[in-house]
Amino acid sequence: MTQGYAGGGFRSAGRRPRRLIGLAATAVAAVLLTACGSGSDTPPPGSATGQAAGAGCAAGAVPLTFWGWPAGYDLAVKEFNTTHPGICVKLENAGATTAEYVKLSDALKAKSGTPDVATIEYFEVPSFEITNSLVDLSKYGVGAAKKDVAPVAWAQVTRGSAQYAMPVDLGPMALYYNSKAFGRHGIPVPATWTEFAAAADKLHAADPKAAITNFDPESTQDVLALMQQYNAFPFTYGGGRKLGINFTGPAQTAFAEYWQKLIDKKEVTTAADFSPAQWSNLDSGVNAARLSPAWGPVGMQLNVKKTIGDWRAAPLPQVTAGQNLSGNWGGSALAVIAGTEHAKEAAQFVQWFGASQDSWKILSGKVAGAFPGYLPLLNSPTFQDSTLEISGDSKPNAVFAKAAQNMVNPQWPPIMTAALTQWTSTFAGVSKGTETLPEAFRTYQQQMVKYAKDQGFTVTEG
Amino acid sequence: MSPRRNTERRATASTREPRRRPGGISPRLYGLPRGTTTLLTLISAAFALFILAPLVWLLINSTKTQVNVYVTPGFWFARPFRLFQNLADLGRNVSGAGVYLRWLGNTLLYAGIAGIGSTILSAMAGYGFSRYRFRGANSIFYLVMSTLLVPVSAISLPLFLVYAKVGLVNSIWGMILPSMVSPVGIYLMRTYIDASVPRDLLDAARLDGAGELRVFVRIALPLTVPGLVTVLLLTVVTVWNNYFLPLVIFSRNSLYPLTVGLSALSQGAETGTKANMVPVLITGGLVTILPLIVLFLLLERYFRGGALQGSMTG
Repeated sequence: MTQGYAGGGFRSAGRRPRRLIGLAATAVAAVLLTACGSGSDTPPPGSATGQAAGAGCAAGAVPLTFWGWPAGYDLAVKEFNTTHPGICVKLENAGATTAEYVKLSDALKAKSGTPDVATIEYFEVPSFEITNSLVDLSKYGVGAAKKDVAPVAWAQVTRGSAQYAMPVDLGPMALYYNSKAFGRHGIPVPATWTEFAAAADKLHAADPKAAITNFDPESTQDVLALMQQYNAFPFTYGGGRKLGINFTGPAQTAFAEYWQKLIDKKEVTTAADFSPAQWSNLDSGVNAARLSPAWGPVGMQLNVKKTIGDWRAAPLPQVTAGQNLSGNWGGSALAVIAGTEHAKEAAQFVQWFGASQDSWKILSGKVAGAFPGYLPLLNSPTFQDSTLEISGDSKPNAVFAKAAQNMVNPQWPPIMTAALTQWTSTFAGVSKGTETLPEAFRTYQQQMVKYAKDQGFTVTEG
Repeated sequence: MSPRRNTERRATASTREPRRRPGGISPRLYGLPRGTTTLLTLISAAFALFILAPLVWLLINSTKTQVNVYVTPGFWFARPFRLFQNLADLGRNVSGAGVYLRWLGNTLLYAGIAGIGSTILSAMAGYGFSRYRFRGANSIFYLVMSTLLVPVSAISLPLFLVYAKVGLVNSIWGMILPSMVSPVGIYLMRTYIDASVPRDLLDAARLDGAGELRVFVRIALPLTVPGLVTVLLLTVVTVWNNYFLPLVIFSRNSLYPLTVGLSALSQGAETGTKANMVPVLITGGLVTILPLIVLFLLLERYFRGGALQGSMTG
């Protein structure tokens, strides 16, 4: 998801910084520096201040800068500012996911330009926790929100008594299948992964162009969520400098071999997640199902046409019949960043944002469409009974909401930025067909262990 | 303005002259067999297709709705025709990520100021290196050139730390100032002045009593218009496409140039948020390249004159 950022960056960026050095030596620059002196800290005329979401706050309100990228956050911020005149939150989009994390850690190192509050995905929280970059919210009474937050979300932002972020949304996964395609080929909804493979065989035999679903080996979060559900989550971490990495254990190898077999038989496609190819496969019948996160369908219905109304949600197939596990893909939390002068107000804001009726009315609305980690909404009949055009009169939220209650807490390692970057290059060969998934797992195991050791972690393998 | 233009026209005309002479070029291009020229034409046509296909795709898909981008053939139109609505969306904040038009304005501002500044600085530095002898001239020149060798990824953090110290983070000058210094521009201007500004002419001007500044502005500069336009174009294009520097230094979306703004949109669209961001992304991509195409068409003859001039006399 993030490789576009880095890749695009280095190419055109060629020679900027040396110019700065060159510039310092250039006498001519003196003239320009004069201009700079007057302009350096002020945005160009008529910009930022006037249009940011914080506009129109009362004079004397405590100002908070909030970095966040998900759609609709601006609307929730506006609502907060209206209902909390003593605080003025200004939302800035400092880039999405990794782009934001890089900026955030740069700013933290420079001790300048850090926001008061930042959106951080669950997997990235330990990376900032270990550098002491996050304010412990337990001191500000945010723990009162615990009863309203899905346990799996709460577990991912807390360690012991410390709370490093306030959970907002979640991405529990389910099997989102095209009921017409399943019906046409007489395929029952699979309850176990064994049945899922049988369904894949049957579908492919009936229609050699068809593949039951898409498996993007390069999509780290997608694969890790499926591993989590397969009881094969590769990391163990409990804070501090000890880290477990295991991509080559029995469960992980079984997972890799399972998917490699389907890839070999061409019973799953390996298009990039969210690529045009994936959407057109879903709409044309090439893919009969999507292993979808809860926030998936809302976006998907903007991207398919013929199959609107045909899609149904069912629990993910299980490793062992009778189990009821899901995995989490996506969702994020709000962290209060160390160095803020207004930690109390920031804590008040993040608690409101993640766990209040007012904010969730907006966050679960049409524009934002976030999937709640907020239990009063998650468990409410109104939410679970709501329908989506793409799913006809069925109630997909009920399935996803149940999945949200059935997740084992993934222990994210504090090296996720490197893990994500490395993943893309190591797993590229799997989608190209030049290497197998078990091979990629073995290579990745070595790379991650080496990286973690270089970073000073005590690594346990297996 | 007018003397420069005249010089330029003459220069261009003289380089083109051989083509116009009857019999100057045989119908069989440079004496190659017909089969070879056909093959070469086909190869160039294939390259042209390769380069143009994405542009055609952009043009066609900017008229579609989001779903039609995915489910209809990429190289043909589909109903409903939404070009105008998509264009109108460029002025709206579709997802909280920011307003496209503001990014376009920012890019124009950054590229414009940096382009003009870089042209002036490169001309002055190139003239100095080319026409003055001073102690350390070569070392300084090589020092300037050697800066091309440092990979930017290696210094992004130090760069940010320096920027934070001098208050250039989230400042438009943080974007513009470094873009004004172009080692390539200095190199080009030095080479160009070496080739097209005769020392004798400068000496003659000095004998006539012109001061150094006057010699530079009134004698040397008018002779280097094609070089200046080349540097201007190169800088504008570089700043226009620059992604890394603004990514590092800006955290306010109201300051983003198009590159960073569009990638923010792209991230949003990819991760499946709900707003219809794909049409804005595609239409935005189309509008992003139009100014560069216009600029090239307007300045092409200067640019080409410059390239040819260098090759003929240098």
